[in-house]
Amino acid sequence: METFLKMSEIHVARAPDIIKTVVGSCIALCIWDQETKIGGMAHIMLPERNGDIGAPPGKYADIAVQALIDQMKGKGAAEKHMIATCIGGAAMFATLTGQKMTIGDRNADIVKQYLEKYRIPIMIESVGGFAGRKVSLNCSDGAVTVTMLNKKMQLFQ
Amino acid sequence: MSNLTEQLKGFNVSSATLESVERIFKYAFEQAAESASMLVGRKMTIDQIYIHIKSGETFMSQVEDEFETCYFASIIKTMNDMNFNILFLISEREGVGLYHSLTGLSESSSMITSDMISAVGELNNILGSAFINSLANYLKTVIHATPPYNTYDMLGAVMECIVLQDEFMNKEFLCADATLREKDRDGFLVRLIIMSNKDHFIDVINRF
Repeated sequence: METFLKMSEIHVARAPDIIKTVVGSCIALCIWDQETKIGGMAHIMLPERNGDIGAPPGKYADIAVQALIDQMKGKGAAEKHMIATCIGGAAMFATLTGQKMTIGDRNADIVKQYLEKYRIPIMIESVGGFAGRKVSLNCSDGAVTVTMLNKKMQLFQ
Repeated sequence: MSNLTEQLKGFNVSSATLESVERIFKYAFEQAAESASMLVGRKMTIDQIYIHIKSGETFMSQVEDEFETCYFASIIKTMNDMNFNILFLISEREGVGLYHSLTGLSESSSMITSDMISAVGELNNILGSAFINSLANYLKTVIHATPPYNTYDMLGAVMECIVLQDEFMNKEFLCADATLREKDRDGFLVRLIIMSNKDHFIDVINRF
């Protein structure tokens, strides 16, 4: 089964399911448990919640990492077997805004800080740049495929 | 009652202001069509102008089905105390058709080139400048804007970057759709989105 992840959403699945999304400045955080082959993805929009209490758990980086881990653990995954891939954080219009630290950069930074806190290693990352990315996580083997327009990259975890 | 009036019911906006907003958009599009006509040497007209007010969140959920579809996008930002993002969107198919119509080149090749992205972006320069000039004329002031930033990418990625960069997710903004049509031929559906906090836009108009 294939699931397309919308902004702020989290989805957890088992092999042989595939989880897909499209990101620009958002981050697609993919976590995969190598033992149980349970995979999860969060489409993270913004770095910090700042009091937005009713926000969906995948919306902010500072709560999404834990929410994704918790949902995976709820299905039988274990933190010690988890590995992560971090994709997105593009700054397509950075030259117009003149901002040095874009929202994409901040999203990526916070995600990495939280992954470090939970001791989940980032195997591969494709972060920054000026183009959008189509991302898919195959729960069977943890392969993450990233497509940037006509350029396709197969990133194996 | 116009569509915009319907949507703004409940907000504290006078009917005179509403008429001004609609007049500015209509005038801007007419000016844009005239400029486009001069560019291609053929008569182009704008019809079916539709103005919406929506939040970034609503907008994103309405275009979700097209997230993986490639679009030509171009954005101009106004500066100082006039904070508008003028975003021009056209789908790949329509953009390629429009490019061929603008340049008179054959439609045999539809490969996206940087020339194509720039040419379609130039149309945003025309449409966006027409909007800015119309607003400036109406307000009797000078509005400074950035040069257009042109790109070609998946709609989901483009919109995500714009909506998040200016934190429009939970704000309402004005959006205008229009069809650019060459006389006696099919039109090209273009989307000119004026992203401004609705209250800011109305405040700017009320200031004068």
